Amino acid sequence: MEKGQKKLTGAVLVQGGGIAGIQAALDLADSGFKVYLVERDAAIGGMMAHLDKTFPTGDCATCIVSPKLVECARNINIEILTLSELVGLEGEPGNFKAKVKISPRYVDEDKCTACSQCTDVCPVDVPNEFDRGMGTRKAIAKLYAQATPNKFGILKMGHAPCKVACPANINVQGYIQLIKKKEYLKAVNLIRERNPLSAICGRVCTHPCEAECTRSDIDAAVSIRLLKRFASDQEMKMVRSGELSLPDEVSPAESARRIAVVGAGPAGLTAAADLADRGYAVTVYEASPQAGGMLRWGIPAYRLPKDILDYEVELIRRKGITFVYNTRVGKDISMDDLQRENEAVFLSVGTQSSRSLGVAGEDLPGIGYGLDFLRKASDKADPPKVSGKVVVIGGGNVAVDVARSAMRLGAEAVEMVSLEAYHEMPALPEEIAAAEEEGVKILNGWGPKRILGNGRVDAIEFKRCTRVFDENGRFSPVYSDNETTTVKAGAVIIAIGQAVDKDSLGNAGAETQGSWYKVDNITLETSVKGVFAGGDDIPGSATVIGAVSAGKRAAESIDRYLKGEDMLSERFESTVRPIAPELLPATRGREKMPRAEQAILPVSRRVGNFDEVEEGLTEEAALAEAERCLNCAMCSECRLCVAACEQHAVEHGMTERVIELDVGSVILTPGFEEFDAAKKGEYGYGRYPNVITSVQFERMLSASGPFDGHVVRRCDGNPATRVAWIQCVGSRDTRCGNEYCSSVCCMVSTKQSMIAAEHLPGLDATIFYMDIRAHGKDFDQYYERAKQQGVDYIKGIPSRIIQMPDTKDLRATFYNEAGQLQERDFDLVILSVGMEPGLSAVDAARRLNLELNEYGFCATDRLAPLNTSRPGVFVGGAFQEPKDIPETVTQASAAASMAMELLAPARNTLTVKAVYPDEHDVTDEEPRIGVFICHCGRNIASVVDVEKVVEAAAKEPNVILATHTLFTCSDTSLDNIRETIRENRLNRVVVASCTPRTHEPIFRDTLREAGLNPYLFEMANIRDQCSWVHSTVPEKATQKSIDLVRMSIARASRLLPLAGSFSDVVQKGLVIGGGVSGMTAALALAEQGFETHLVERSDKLGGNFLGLHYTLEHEDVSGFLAGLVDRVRSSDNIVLHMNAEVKNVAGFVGSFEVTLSEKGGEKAVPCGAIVVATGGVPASTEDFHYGQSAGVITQSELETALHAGTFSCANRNIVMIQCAGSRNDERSYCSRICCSMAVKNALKVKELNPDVNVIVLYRDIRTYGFREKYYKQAREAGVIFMRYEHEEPPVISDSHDLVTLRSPDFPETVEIEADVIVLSTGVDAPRDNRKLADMLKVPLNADGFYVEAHLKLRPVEFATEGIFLCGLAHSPKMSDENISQARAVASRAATILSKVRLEVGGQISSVDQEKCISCMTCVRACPYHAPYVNVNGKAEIAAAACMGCGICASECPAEAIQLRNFESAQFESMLEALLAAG
Amino acid sequence: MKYAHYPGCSAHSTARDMHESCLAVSKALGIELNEIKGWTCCGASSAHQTDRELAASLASANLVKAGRMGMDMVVNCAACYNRSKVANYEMVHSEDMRRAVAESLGEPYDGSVPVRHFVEILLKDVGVAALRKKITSPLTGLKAAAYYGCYLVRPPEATNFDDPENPTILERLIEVTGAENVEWSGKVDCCGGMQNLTRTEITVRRSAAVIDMARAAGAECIVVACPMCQISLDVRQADMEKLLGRKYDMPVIYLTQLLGLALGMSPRELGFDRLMVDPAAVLKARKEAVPSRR
Repeated sequence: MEKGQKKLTGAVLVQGGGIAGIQAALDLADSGFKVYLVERDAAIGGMMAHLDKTFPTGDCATCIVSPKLVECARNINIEILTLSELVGLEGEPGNFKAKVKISPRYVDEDKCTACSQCTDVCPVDVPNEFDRGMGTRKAIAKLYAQATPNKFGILKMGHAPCKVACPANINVQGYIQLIKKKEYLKAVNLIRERNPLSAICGRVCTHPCEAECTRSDIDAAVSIRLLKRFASDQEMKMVRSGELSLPDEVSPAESARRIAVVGAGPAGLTAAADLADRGYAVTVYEASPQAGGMLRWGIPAYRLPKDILDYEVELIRRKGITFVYNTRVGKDISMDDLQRENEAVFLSVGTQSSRSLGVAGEDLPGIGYGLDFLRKASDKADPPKVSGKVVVIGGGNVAVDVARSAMRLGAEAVEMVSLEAYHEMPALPEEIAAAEEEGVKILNGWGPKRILGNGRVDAIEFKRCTRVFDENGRFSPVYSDNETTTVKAGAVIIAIGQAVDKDSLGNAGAETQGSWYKVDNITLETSVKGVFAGGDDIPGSATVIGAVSAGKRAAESIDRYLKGEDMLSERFESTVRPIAPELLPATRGREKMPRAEQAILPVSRRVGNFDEVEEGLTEEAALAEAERCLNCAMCSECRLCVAACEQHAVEHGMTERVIELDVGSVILTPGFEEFDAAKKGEYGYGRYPNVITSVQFERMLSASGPFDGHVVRRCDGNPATRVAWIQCVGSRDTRCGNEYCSSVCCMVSTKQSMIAAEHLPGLDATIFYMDIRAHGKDFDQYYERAKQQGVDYIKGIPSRIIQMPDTKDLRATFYNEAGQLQERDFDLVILSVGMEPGLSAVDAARRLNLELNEYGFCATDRLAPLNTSRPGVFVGGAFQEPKDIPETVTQASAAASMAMELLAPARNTLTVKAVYPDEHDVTDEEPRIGVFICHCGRNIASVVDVEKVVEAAAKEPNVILATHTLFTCSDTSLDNIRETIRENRLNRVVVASCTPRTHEPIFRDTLREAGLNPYLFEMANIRDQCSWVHSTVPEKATQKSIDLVRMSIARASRLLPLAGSFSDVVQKGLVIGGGVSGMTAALALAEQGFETHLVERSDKLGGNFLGLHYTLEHEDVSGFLAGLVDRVRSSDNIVLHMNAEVKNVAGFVGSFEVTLSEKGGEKAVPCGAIVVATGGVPASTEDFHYGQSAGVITQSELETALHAGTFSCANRNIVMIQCAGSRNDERSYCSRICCSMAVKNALKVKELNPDVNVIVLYRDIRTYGFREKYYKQAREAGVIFMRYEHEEPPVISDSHDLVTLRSPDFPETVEIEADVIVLSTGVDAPRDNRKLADMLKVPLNADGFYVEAHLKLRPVEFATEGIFLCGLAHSPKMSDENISQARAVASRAATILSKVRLEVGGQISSVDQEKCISCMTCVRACPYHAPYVNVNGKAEIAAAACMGCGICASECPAEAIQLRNFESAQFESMLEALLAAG
Repeated sequence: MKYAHYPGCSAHSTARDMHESCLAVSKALGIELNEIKGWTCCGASSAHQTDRELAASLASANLVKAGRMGMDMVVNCAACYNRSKVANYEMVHSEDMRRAVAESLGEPYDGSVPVRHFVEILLKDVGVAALRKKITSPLTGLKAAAYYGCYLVRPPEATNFDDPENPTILERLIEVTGAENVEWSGKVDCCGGMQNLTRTEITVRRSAAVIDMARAAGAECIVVACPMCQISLDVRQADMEKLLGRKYDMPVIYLTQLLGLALGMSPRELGFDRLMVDPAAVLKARKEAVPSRR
């Protein structure tokens, strides 16, 4: 086995953590390889974790998959990387460099204890994707209840449009969620992180956020501004009532660096606040006597009361900012002085001068300007006198403010004249509406031509404005000079815009641009180093929120500037990530909710005063309004979870990272995605709530699903008694692109119909199908059982489903078997959706340069089903071809074997073993028990009085110490337990916390690390059994907790250390059967470096494959077989035993001895593992006159004749009869291969002579998976398929040349002339299987095939450890499946053969030799054949074979058997403790 | 927004209301419809059932004329739309058909002139946002069932109009008017229009079934974009009453009529007086005009 000189890497990357990935990872890790298990989701488990039950056994899917999840998580050689994807692969087989992209979980996995407190406080409900959109989950949650790793994570989509639209990027969604939770102060604080003017903006913001609100597509935008105001008002209310005090005034540090801010408007205030928060000493210079700038002088008090402004200015001042009033820079203090005294200057001087019209008459008395007017109007003491008719020129917010103020100050009439058309006016619509309410008239579309008057203004002449904006939306008015109008006016106020005061602009020494400062667009730095400018004095939108944004940006730049950091890269803005439009929440079909209304001051009470007009939202209205938020970004980053997490595990700032891993091989097991049922619009999926997919139905059936396992109509929750399944939705359908068969759906629906009937007795189940494909082991029997139980199978697919308007019943239209159009009503229609390769899997495969097949699945060859097109990269599971769980698990193991073969020399080079200190001998010690009671955060402690439990525990005998911890499983607590054990010389430990299922291994490990035997541990589950189930009765829950803990203490006193033992492994394999399966298994083991004995009864290798000449995909397969035989014969590691038979089998796992009889006599072969690959035989039949005429042959005979060229193409009619001797009472199973074989031979005949008629008489055509393509090809080639039913098989005339057929598809009996009749007879189990089965002590099923340990998850091994099976010995199947099974066997066997010795668990049964009465009960009862009768005639347990299940102990009539760690005395002591308490 | 306009024969006969409302709405929205000079029959009535080449040639003749105008061709009649789209599809996909049409037209045509239905123009070119701004008389509270029939959506590979099973273009436009869509399953059902003159009873029964379902879903009116559907559903209500013995009274109006109302136009200029079933419910829903603002 030369692998070249280069050292190989003993690690494997497995992409995809479904059941396939888990199996591959476990196999590899258990046989000496380091594994990186890379999973895209937040937890492993894949599709299986979604399922309710599995067919045909009805096992609970979770129950069988959960232990595998835990095993994976506990294996120290498996590193699980969740939220991860393989994004690149370089290098060569044996030495790859794999790039893995890890998306942020936003929760530190090392810290999270899965206590769920974050979920409890999370305000955001998002559709539950795990339940396929049925029901909701929180934005921070576990993927599902049994999620492994047992960690929470956050779902983030980016940032909501509101946050993106806000110039200051306030986390709008976040504070709305906090309001929803009544966390008003937290809401205000969140706002203030980006905007210190919360209460102000709650009143006057132009709210660009609302324009982008997704909700407006449903009804109207969320009233964001009013919610902001509501939260701020709550804070002020609390301050006023004394409930909340203002923050303490702080002073900057002595050493703080000095910064000057010029202008105390919104931009200056914001920059000052931000810089003070960053620790700078800030001085604000303001020309006027008070702070606020335009907020104070430009916005009338009826919109923004001055006390609100004063309140927020005071909050800002308390950050340690010095305000210097009445000081104009350039006049009272020079710019040079400022620059000398400060390390940076921020200019936010605002706009003080009004723009003029530049028309004749503008200098007449009676004409004023907007800003001057507003400034004067804000002077309570001396307001300007207004009378007569006032004309306001302008259409912006200032103009509206002027008009409304003038109205209040006593104008007889106010008329606004705006250049723009009504709908183009730049003022806010609600402001315009309010002005109109107050009596302001608006004249649109006129521009001033000249002002008329004699000594004083008395009218204005306007000219028509025909267009204000040009095609690009730029301001570029066009007038019609001929059309004019004259408006009478007593006074005119011009409010057409403002500009920076020329003096202010000039004296900073910075370059200007028009009437503004010239600044860098991003940093806001002016041409002078260290001098920044922002707000209305730079170009851009002149809004308060725009100024706030400028202040924030300037502060960030100044901070970076002073720290000498790059001012441009990775600024705050770059952390804002908009959500792709297609990922925004769907708005169609959502319920409408009215937008909140606030009370406003009646118009009659507004005259003559400046009282605030808007009253804000009531609490009730605000809470309802907050509910309207759609949570576009999923996680709102409200950070309630951060506060709730006592482990400080939540980290919102986590980012994506890419790591590089050294691996020798890659296994792809990315699984599948279900077909998008919405693509089949005729079934109304997504429109009709009662049409669901089969995956959704699994979730509905699941007890942990959104309907608690009830089968209901989603529209009204009533029981769904009439349920229909529609098969092949997205499969076998050329229109939707998926021509292949998804292989499992028929059985899934059959299972679902049976389980649903269990959930809802009397359920009326109908399955619409094309062919029932029950081709798996024991599947056909299951299908028959379903039919017997009344499931109505209708051959035919409904053309459409409509929902009846009144009842919401679903009406299916279909043709029945008699060809009549029918309609039937159902409560629930389940679309049996097919499998598709996942988009991400396809992307990954492309990145890895892997070939995909015509359907987008990973391209493989039937005879090398695990090889991708790239050497060293292997594939398994549904990404290779749609398949069921057992085939998936098989392929996963097989792919693992491929990796093992490649990397055999590197085995055990990268794996680690846990090292523990020597165990402290406790044999002669009195029990010294430590009891640890867990709060589980609030999970337990909010119900159970933990301290009381501690108190009670401390009183119990042998208890040295009882204590409680917040999270007993956290790293620090575990350290503490170890320390406590050492300090107090504890020799028993009891933990009362959650479930042993997930946590017992962790605590046992802790004991080992502290030098105690792990079996000296006992656990009480006071979470599930007390705080959860009795949450409403805390006292009783506490009492029950005490009882449980006392029982555990009692048992702990009697716990004994258990020592495992070791048995040596014979590192050799033995394979029985020299067919393709046996040879493949032997070769795989040999390639892995194990000496392997291959036992073949005949003198020829090849088995059934010798009779195979071509397949659907391969013209000639003899070369493949020859190659295989050659490799077997030339392998150094394979010892061939031809003409040999097994005579006896002795021993147990790791140490068997198999006696062979061969040419030279009997020979004993020691081996560690045995593989049964004894194959099957072509079934024979006496039906259909077989054997009576040369005109009736089998498919195999036809194939041989076609291959040999002896088949006469002069035959005109060839009639093939499927299921000859199969699927009947005598042979109840389906042989799986015959349909494909018939199609194969039919195509061959057609190829040789297209004129020959081939007629296939069938019951169901079962060309599953990609073989469906050939069924289609056959039909296209003219092969005729006619159906018959089991009850009425075709009849062959005595002369064997006429077949009479009663088909359910034709009204009349059909007679077919037949030149040749070809029977598909299937595969039989060899009659002598029984003999070998007895020797191996393994079971056979009713059909004579060997029975594996578990149909789903242990498909290639027997319950008896160390013995494996593959190929036709297991059940009939195709070559590629046999090859996969054979390789899987090699992988599973390697988990034994790779070890020098096997550790035998301590928790096994033992027989008291004194008490044993030699009755043999245990020998018969044990499913693992562990008990045997020893030389003394007494029972004894073979430790290596014992699985610790306890069946023998419970069966033993003499009570001679005890299962260690579950001994009677231990349980008795628990009962005593319980009863003593009562 | 300039288009080559193909009115089709129904615009001058059975569907004058459709035509009038379309022109009125176009004017209000600044859509410039330039009638194709010398347009001829699209082949919808009988040609396509008797002679495929003739049908493709008839439709192509108009398309060629539209192509010379250098604009997209906009069609209002669903049958014309269907014929033109199918002709384009055949021109692109069949060389034989291309040859045959070139022969009969005397010039080649490659199927490249875009054919748009008027409602597509409304939704995609004018856009919901712009439409919303112009709504002055919202039809709040009116429950409407959008009905597409088959010509617009089928065959989907040729018409490519919207999701053939669940189109929503009309619903989105109805929403703009302020009316409420009812959820129902009948929107792409057949009205039986093709049998209107030959086997009338089929049409009457089919159309009655459509109306029944719309009513059961709570609709006060049915909104259509196809003159064939409109005739079957509207004109045949008298026959339904005769045949089935119950009153129908379901207004069946064109989307352009509904939109025109919401845009503040008078019922008369929108051709409401031409409807057979009294559209009172629709008209009653109209709110008094409110001044438009953004």
